[in-house]
Amino acid sequence: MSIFITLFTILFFALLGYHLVYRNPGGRFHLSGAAFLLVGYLLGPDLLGILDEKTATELTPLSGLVTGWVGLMYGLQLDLPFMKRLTPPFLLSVCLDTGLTLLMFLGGTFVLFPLLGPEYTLSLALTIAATAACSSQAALVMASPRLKPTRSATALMRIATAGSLISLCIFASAFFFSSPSPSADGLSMEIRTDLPTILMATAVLVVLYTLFFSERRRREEMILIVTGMVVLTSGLAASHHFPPLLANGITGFFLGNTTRYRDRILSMVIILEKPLYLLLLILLGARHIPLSSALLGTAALYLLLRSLAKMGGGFLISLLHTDIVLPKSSGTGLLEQGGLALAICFDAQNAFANPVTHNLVTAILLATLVSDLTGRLTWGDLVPVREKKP
Amino acid sequence: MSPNRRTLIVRNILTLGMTVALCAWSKQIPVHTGWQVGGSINITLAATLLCGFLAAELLSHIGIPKITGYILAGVVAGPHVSQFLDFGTVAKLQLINEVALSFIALHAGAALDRALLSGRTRALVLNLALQSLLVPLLVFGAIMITAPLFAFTAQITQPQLLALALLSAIIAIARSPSSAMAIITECRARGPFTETALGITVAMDVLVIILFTGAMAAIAPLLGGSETKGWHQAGILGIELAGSLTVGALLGFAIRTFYKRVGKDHVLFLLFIAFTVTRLSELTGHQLSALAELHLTLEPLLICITAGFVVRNTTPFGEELEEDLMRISLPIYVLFFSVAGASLDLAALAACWPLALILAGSRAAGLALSSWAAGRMAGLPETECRVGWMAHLTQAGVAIGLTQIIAREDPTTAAYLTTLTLAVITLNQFIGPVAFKRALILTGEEGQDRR
Repeated sequence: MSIFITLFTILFFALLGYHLVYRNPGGRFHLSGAAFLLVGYLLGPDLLGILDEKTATELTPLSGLVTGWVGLMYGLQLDLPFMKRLTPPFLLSVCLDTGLTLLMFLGGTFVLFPLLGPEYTLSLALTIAATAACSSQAALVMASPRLKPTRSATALMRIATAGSLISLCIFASAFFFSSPSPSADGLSMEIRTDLPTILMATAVLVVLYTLFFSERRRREEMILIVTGMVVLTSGLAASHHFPPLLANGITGFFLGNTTRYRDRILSMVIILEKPLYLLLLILLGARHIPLSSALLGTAALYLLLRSLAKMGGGFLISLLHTDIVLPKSSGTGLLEQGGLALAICFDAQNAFANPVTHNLVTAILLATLVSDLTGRLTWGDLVPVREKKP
Repeated sequence: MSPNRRTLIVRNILTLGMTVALCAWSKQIPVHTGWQVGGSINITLAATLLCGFLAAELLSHIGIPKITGYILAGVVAGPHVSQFLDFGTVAKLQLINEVALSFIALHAGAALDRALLSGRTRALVLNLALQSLLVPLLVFGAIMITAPLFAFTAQITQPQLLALALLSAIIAIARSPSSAMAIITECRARGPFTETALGITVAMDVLVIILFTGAMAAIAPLLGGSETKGWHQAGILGIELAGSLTVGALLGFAIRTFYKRVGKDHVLFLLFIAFTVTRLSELTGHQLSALAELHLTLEPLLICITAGFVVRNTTPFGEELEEDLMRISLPIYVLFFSVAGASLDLAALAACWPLALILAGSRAAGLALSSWAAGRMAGLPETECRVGWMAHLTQAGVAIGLTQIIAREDPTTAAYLTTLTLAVITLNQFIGPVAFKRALILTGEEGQDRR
């Protein structure tokens, strides 16, 4: 009997999820894709058991694909025209927003982690800070009236994109100071990743992409090639104890800036972006959640610290950003975490697989759900209404 | 050969060489953690996808269908040749492979257009009737006459030989809807011949279960069981069949509701359906085995074919569904057939290749005779009568599943039957796609699907 209940519940939630997310884009109360974390939880070991631990292991290739896809997309977006738009006042804003978040989180973890035990490593501290610093660009579009971002929303989107680059660098550094088995002294620093090998492999991957794309191909073939290449890059990265998200991001960056196939590849990546992103959320949500006061406390602390950092960062940006006038409450527009933060969580839980990482990622996910919902409620069309054109 | 084509081939060889070199190098990396093991599986999977695709592209220059290229790439990468894909990795890819099979089955069902089949009912029924009569007859006769001559079956007792011949004869009519669908997609074929071939393939996969059910009941005393036990097993197979068709129809209506309510992003939903059907079929089997000691499993292949067929023929979303499935079909086909190639049992083929050749030959003869007779009786064009059999050689899926049922009843006969069936499947998986592609070219339906 439970099988039939399972089947109908899945279909019901799938329908409900799609409706909530896509039926009314731009509306104040519609949920972000983060709702799919709940669908994942429903399918996971705690409830229906369809996505149990064994199945998750068998779906390993899918894990590499979903985070790799997010990374490739992000890397391809970092092309030279985007870089040229990073004016000094704009860079200052990025540093204020992301820098403040990183400072608060790294400060907090440096105080707390040594008290908690050796398994709370520097790598985890850097990962948490990197996750917290990320902000969603898509949320700003979704919250804009008729999905058309205003000038202030566009400025915040660029700040979020450039800020995510700093977050990725911080996340990358987590791998330079980690090994598969953590040492007793959790915060000790030693470069462990073989950077030249990773860069050399990236060069070969870029050449392979070029060879594949140098002839005219049908769309289905290009999807196959991009899928295969993303999974290959993810596999190579994981084998070298390096995150697939970053490896694909780096490959995407070089592809976007050194070849003429950026637009063709990007158009293929966009086709499967949404399904794969939702798949990432489902896979991430399918987990055992040991509900405890410690877990809820960690989530609340993360949420509080991040909200303070983002609101503070937004306030500072409104004072110092000279390109465009931004409202004092701009920080509310940066509250939603976005896909990149969740992809970082996904890679981190695979790379530093232990109960501590599991609990920390779970706490971040709970906080993400809350921040995404509250972000929508507080943000909505707040900035467009208050926007004053210079 | 034109310079452009030569450049293309050289470039493909270069790309294939680089991909193989990169993957071979990556296999040398020492693996310590679960994450690195996952990375290694990712590399293997990506290599399978990319090398399968490139190998198929290269082979297509000499007229070999791409599906055969994927299978060949899988064989070369597989545990019997280069061991890049070892037995363990092949086993780890099984879930993804089964999801892919459900997806292909959905595609096959969605491609079955009743409107195109409407003028072909007579041909369809005659083909089904004659093929399910003549093919088993010829195969049964061939095994009974030749099996005692080979070392492989020399030790077998007379009742076991009778059971082996009867079951092999029934299994010989099983088809591979996935292979047929892959060829049709690759050739962009459309027309009455294509639809009839696909219709027969799908219907025969249902019919084989019914015939097998009857055969199981009949030979139960030969396998050392009672007739009652045989009919009990037949009843279970009947329930499986009816259950799968019902669930498939319900799923079809669920897909219709989804398409009606949600206007976009159907791909994720379809992948989700394929995954859920695969997983739930497995879970149902486990739960029923635990609860009532009943070896009853719903067949994901049949569920998905029925669902696709229902959407195609009872709702206005058939074309849309087919287009959505087509959009991501290529990676799924490459993956599925490359892993299928790696899973092909070359050891089984080596053990009994003379008998397998005879079985495959008699099966082809039965198909040729029945297709020709059915075509003439139904008044089909002469070309279709002559080449009809070539569309039905591929064989997989259900055939293997049926041998597993025997394994529960009589392990000794099952061992012979499984080895022989796997050997015949291996042969047909190489010959079948080439023959089907040739048939589509000869009937002029290749490239007619211009959607």
